[in-house]
Amino acid sequence: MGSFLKNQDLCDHNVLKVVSIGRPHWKKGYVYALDALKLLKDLGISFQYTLIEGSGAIEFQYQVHDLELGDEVELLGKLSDNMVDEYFNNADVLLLTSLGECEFDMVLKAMAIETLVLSTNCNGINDLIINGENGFLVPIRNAQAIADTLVMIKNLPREQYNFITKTALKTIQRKF
Amino acid sequence: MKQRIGLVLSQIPGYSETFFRNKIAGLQAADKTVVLIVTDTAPSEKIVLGCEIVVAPSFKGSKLRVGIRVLKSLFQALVFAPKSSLRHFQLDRQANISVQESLKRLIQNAFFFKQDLDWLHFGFGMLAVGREHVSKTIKARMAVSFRGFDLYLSPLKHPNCYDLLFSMKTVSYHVLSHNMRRDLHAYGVPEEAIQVITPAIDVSFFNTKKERLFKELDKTMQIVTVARLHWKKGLEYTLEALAIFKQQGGLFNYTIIGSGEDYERLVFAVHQLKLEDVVTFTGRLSSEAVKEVLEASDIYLQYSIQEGFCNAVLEAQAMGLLCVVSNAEGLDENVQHGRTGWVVPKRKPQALADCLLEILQMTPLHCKQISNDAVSRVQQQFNLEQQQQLFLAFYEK
Repeated sequence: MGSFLKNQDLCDHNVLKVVSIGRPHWKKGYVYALDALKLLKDLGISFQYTLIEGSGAIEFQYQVHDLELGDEVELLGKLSDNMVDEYFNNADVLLLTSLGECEFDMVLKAMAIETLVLSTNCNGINDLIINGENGFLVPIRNAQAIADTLVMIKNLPREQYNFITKTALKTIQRKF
Repeated sequence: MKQRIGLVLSQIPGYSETFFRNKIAGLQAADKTVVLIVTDTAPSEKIVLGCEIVVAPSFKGSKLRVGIRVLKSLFQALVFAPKSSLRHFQLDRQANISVQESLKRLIQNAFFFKQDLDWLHFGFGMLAVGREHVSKTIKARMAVSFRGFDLYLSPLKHPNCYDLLFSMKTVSYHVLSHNMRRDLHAYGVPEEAIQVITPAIDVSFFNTKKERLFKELDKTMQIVTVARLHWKKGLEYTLEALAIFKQQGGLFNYTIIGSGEDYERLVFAVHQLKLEDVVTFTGRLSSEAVKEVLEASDIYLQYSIQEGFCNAVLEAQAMGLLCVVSNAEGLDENVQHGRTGWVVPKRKPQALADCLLEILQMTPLHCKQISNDAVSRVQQQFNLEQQQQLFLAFYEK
């Protein structure tokens, strides 16, 4: 399944597709991802967020319910590698909200398939992502910054989105 | 003949669990017989409650142990309470519960059948799940208390878990706040079946002779929270608000009283938010020690994400602290915004920081007025005597 982004600007899409992956642990900072998405919803922006491996955590279930994000947020269990690839391929943005360590393998996977990465400024990410050049970085624990950046990404012209993701691909080709 | 009330809890309430201990003592004082039925474990400590305690059989352990227990329970049910067993089984089957599940429920609930009770009162909503037909079987009236977690979180964890319970017409419900009453009614439970009885505190213990002047809040504000270290208490958001408050020039010390699974998470937040010099974790303290900390503090924060009502906020108000709470469920009934404290939308650290700045700018006289109004309201409306009267009326219906 190919990305639906190939032929049009993100802002022309009805729905911004965002994906995250990782066990439902507080260190992953998903609380901030969900708070940011609430801000997005309040702005009237359509999105679909999939949190892979996020099911079963009552904290996030309640937050989704509490923030009335049930129609936009999907909390999934652990998926096969193929399924993960499919979700990554179809996403506009891989969102990483870690408060500490980065999930480098997931960042590399997204960069390799030209899905844009938005990450918190977690440990070591600066070695891989230069903000605005081959992805986007936001401060940790900052839902507003995540929301602002998602809005900005949604408004990127297609050429610029592609330029950033191609730069990301070149980054990992050069480094690895 | 004395009214007999069976109170179902998961465990025997410890010394700090004042709500149930006070309730039991109040009913006993009113000449009721209380039978405490605990579903999980026998007490690990010797706790004196002055009432009969029944411990449910455990079906945990090795297959052999469980098998023996199942056979014993089934034998006791069929031999000593055949009519009740049949009735319970039939009621379950009439509710479209499978034969296998009905048998399982019969085995688990058979120990109730020898109880001679006027009321069977489940202390939490989830305790009634799987036991919906016990009270009818033993010809007792059925009551269920909802206390927050069980109403707001359990249905997310166990979808449709209350379908059978809420379809039953003869259950009386107790909730802690009018917001909870509204939310329970939204499940289809008739309003007239739901009674609000708020928590209450011992106002003869939680009071102070200290005259609070609130003249030096701008020097070093003493802030405190008493809470289990659990995500639902919103302590991470609280720390973020305090980090903003600190950046904006607020001077304070913040004490968190309590223990729990989120200790590491909160210590990490304190470190990351650079609050090490102003935040203290005391761990769990005795009521006397909590009172001492409250006595020495100015502001109480309860910025919860989910909260049925919260006794700790009542205790802080009774001690004359200025209380700032979130708008989670029962908290905006616990504190009246602008009159006895402040209610701030939850999950919004900036709003909480703004509220603290607003308090800093208030006149001491205004702060004193709010403190006095909070003390009076708690003393008049949230005392144990009043709560006991309401529970007595609940059982007289």
